[in-house]
Amino acid sequence: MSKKFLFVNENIFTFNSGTEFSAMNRIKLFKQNNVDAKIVTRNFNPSLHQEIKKYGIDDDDIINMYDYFQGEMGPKKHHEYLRYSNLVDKHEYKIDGVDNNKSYIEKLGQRVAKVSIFPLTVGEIGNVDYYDNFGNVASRDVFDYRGFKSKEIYMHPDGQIGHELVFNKAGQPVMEITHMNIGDQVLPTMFKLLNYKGNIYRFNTEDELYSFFLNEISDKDTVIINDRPSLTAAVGNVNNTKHKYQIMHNEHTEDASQAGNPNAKLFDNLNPLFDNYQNSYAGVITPTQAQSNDLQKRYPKMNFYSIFDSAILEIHKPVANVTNHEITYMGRIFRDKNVAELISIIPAVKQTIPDVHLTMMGYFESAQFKNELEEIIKQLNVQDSVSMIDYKAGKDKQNVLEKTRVLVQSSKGEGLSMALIEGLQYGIPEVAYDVNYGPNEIIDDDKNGYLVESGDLGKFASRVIDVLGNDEKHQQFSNHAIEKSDKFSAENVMKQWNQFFETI
Amino acid sequence: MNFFLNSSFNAKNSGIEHAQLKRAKLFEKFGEDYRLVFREWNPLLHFHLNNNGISDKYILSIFDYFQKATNVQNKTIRPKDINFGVANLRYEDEKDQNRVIVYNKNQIVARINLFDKEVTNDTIVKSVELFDGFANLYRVDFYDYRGFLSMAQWYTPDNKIATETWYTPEGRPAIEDYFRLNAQGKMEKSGFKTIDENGTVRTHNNIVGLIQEFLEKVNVEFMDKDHPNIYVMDRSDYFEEILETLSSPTYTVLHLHNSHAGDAQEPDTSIMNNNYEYSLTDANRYDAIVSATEKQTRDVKRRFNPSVDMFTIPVGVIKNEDLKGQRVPMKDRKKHSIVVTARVAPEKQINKIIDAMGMAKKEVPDINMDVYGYVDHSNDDIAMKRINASLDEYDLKDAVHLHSYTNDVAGVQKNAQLYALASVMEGFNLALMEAQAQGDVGVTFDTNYGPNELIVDNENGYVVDYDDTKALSERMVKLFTDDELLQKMSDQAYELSNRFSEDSVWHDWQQLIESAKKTWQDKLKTYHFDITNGLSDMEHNEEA
Repeated sequence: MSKKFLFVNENIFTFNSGTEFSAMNRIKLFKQNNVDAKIVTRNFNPSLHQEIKKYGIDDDDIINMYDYFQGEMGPKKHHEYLRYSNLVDKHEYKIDGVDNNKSYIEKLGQRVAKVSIFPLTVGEIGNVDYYDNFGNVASRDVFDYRGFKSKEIYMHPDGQIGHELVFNKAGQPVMEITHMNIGDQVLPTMFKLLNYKGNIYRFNTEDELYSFFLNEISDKDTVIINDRPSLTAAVGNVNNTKHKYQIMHNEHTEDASQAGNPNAKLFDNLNPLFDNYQNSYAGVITPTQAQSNDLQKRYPKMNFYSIFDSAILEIHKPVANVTNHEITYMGRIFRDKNVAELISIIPAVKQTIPDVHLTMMGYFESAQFKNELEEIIKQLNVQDSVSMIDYKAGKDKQNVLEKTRVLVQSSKGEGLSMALIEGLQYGIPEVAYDVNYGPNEIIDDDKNGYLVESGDLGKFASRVIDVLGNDEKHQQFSNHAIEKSDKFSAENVMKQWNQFFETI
Repeated sequence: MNFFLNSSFNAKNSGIEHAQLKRAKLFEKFGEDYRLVFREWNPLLHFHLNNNGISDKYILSIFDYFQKATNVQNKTIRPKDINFGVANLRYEDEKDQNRVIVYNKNQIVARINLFDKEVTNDTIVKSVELFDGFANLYRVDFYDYRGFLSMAQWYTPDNKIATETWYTPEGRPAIEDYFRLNAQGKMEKSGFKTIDENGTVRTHNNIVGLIQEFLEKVNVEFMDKDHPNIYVMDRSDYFEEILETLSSPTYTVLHLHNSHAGDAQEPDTSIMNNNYEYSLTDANRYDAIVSATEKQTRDVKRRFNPSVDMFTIPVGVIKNEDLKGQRVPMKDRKKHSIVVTARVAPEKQINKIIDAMGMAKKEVPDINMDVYGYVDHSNDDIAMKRINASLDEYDLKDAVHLHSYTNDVAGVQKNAQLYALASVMEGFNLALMEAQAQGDVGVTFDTNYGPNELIVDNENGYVVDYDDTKALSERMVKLFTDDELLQKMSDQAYELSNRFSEDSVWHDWQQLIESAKKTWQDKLKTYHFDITNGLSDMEHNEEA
C-alpha cells in the first residue's frame, strides 16, 4: 500500500489525554507493521521533542507545523548552555546563577534579563525575559529544547502578548503572529508566513494556517486521520486529499446513556463534523462497533468504521500476588470523568477493608477542581485512604500499576477506555460502570472484574470489596485479564486497520 | 580612522554640516580616509549625502551599523512590490494625499505612503500602514530610500506604539525599543535592545547605550597602530559623555563651531554656550580642542586654560579652481550693491544692515541689497518684523530684495560689490568666506567669531565696533564713493582667500593628525584587547 498516514492532533503536551495516547499508540503500531505514518501537531511547543521521548516516539515520527515552517524537523543535536551561549556578552554582562532553574543577567548592578533554564536540562536556555527601565518584561526569547532561539514574544504595554516572531535556526524570522482586538478581546489576529517557498501568506487564524500546512504536506495518497474534534474544520478544509477520517475517542452524546437515541444532544464539539463537514470526510472511525452502529443509525449517509483506539503493544510481566489493598484510578482528573464518586465509596469500603487506599493518578482539570476534591476527602474523613498524585508516565506510571490490586473507573461515558485496556496488560482486575462505550468490551463481568450499573455506588463499593478481600478471586481475575488482553493485541488491532485499508 | 560625529543630515542643514562636507572633500582630495558618523535614524540619510557628493563608503550611521546596512545595493520599491500575503488586491490612488490604499474586497489591507514630492516625483514607498484581517492597524513599516524595510512600529490594540524594530535588509531584527507607562503613567521609551548576527543580545536604558555600544565596537574594529582613531565631535551631544570613558584608546577632539560663550561679545565672563557647557568643562578629558579662528583659540585658552592641545583650523575651504577662477572687476558688477546669503534669522540682525543702508542713502541714492535665504519664522516672525520696520523707516522697499534660498550662491556673490554682516554671534561664517573668494568686499560689526577675522580691517573690508550701525553706514558710503578703494579692497579679498586654500587648511589638519599619531603609540602601549581564548565550550561534545 503506497498510502501515507497523517494523524492530526493539536499537540503532544506535558500532560496528555487519551487522544494523544491513542495517536502515539497507533504510530507505534503502524511502525511495527511498516505502514508510513506521522503524528502531525499544530501547537508551538518548545518542549515537543523532549516530551515525545518520554513516550518512545522518535523525532521522525512527528511533524509539527512550526517545526516545518522553521525548517527544523530533526532531532536535538545541540545543547545551548547558558554559560557558553552567544546570547550573553560576558565581557559586559554577568550571569548570576540563582539556582538550577534560573539565572539573572546583570550589568553594573542592574538586572537586565532573567533566564529560565530549560526544564529537565542542566543549564540549557529555556526562556529569557528582558526587562525595560521600568521593570516590565518587554520581550521574551523562547528557546527550543533542541538548542536554538525559536521565538521572540513582544509584550503589549499592559503585559499581554503583543506580537511574536518565529525564527529559523539562522535567526531569520519566518513567521509573525499578532495579538490585537477581536471585538473587545485581545486575541491572535494574524499568522503570517514571511518567506515560505519565496512567498508571503497571511492567515486570520492558526487553524487556517494549519489547513494550509496540512495541504502542503499532503497529496492524493495521503490519508488524514483527525484525532481532535476541535480540528474538524481545519482538516475538513484540506483539499489535496479526499482520504480524510475523523476518529472518535469519546461517546458522542452529552448523556452517554442516550447514545443510542438518534435525537439525543451531541457534544458541541461534534457539531461541525455532523453539521458542516459531513461531505469533507470519507468516514468516521469509532473505537467500538456499538458506537458505529448508533452513529450509522443517526447519520445513514456517512461511512463508519470501528477500530479499537488502543492496542497492547507489549504484555507486561503479570504482577502476581498483589496482596495490598491498593486501588487505582488512572486518567484525567476532570469533572466529566465523575471522579468524585470514587472518593465517595471509600468510607463504605473502609468498613470492611480498613486499610483500603485509593490512588488517583492524572492531571487535574484545574487547581480549583483539585481543591473541591480535597474538600470532599476532608468531609468524608478519608485523608489517609486517598492520595491524589500528579500525572505520571513511563516507569513512574508502571510502578504505580504494579502495586495496584484493583483498577477502578466511575465515568458515565467513554469511547473505549484506554486506562482499562492498559490495566489488562498488568493483569489487574477492574471495576467500572457499564456505560457507553467500552467497559463491557474490556471487562467480562465476574471474569476479570465487574461491570456495575451506572450510578450504583453501593454495588460499586461491594464489588471493590469482593476483589480486595478475596485473594483467590483476585488471582483468577488477574489470569483472565491477561487472557482478555489478547483481544486488544497489536496483531488483532492491526487486523482491524488492515480491513479498513481495504476500503480506502 | 577619522570619525566626524554628528546627529543627522537633511535637505536643509546648518553650518556645521556644511563644514563637515567641506572637510570631507578635503580629506578625500588628500587621500585621508574618514567616516561621517550620524546617530539619528534617517531613511533619507544616504539620499541627502549622496546628493552632496558623499558616497556610501564614507557614511557610518549608527543605525546602519547595527542594521548591517552601511553598504546596500540600491533598489526602488513601488507600491505593487509590497507583498501582503493576501490575494485579490485592489489599489486605490489618493494622489492628493500622496498615498495608495490597498483593499481585499472591501476590507483595508494597507495604506502605502509615498516619499514626498520634494524628494522625488517617482512613486517610491516611504511607509506602509498594515492592517490585520480584523481591521486592526497593527504595524507601520518605514522604508529606507535605498529600498529596504528599515523599521517597523508595532501597535497596541488602543493604537499606541508598543515596540519599534529595526531590521537588517535581510529582515533580521537588529535593534528594538519599547514604550511603556512610566511611574507617572505616561507612555515613554523604556529601553533598547540590540541583537547581533551571532545572536548576542545587549540591553540599553536609552539611545546613549546604543551609541556607546557602537563606539566601543567601532573603535576596536578600526584599531590600527599606525592610524589613530580620531573622533571629531562636530556635534558633541551624547558622544561627549561616552568618549571620555571608552574602554579602548581614542584621540578625541572637541570641535567648536560657535562661540563658547553665550554672549560672544563677552567671551571671558558670560555664561557658557549651552551646546559646549559639558564638553568644555570636561575638555581636559579629551585630546584636543579645535576652533575655527585664531581669535577664539586665544579666548578659549585665556578663559579655560586647558592642558590639551588647541588647534585653529578654518571650517571653510576654498577649492583651488575657485581661487584661480576669473576675477570680476567691480565695475562689471551691479552698482552699489550689497549681497547677503544667510538665513533670515533674528541673530543675523539684517535689519541693522538695512538701517545702515538707510543712513547711507543720502550719499549713495542707488544703494541696493539682495538677500538670499530661508526665513526663520521663530519668535513670532520677529526677524521679518524688524526688517519690515527698517524698510518702512528708511523707505527702502524698492532697494532691498528678499529672495528665497539660492543654489547659485557663487553667482549672486560674483555680481555684488559688498557683503555685509551685522550678526550677534558667529562660529566662522562660511558665506562671508565664499563671498570674499568671489571678490566681495566685506563690512561687519566686530562680531565674534569669524567676521572680524575673515575681514581684515582696512585690507579686504572694514570691521566697525559691535552694534555701531552708523559706522557701518559710513564704511558703505566710503566704499561706494571711491571706486579705486573699492577695487583695491576687492583685489585683497581675492588675495586673502588663499588663507583658506585646500593646501592651507589641509596643512592645519595635518598638524592635528601628526599630534594624534604621536600620542597614539603611548595610548596603545597600555591597551590590551579583550580575552577571547578559553571562553568557549570545551567540555561538551555536540551530537553528530
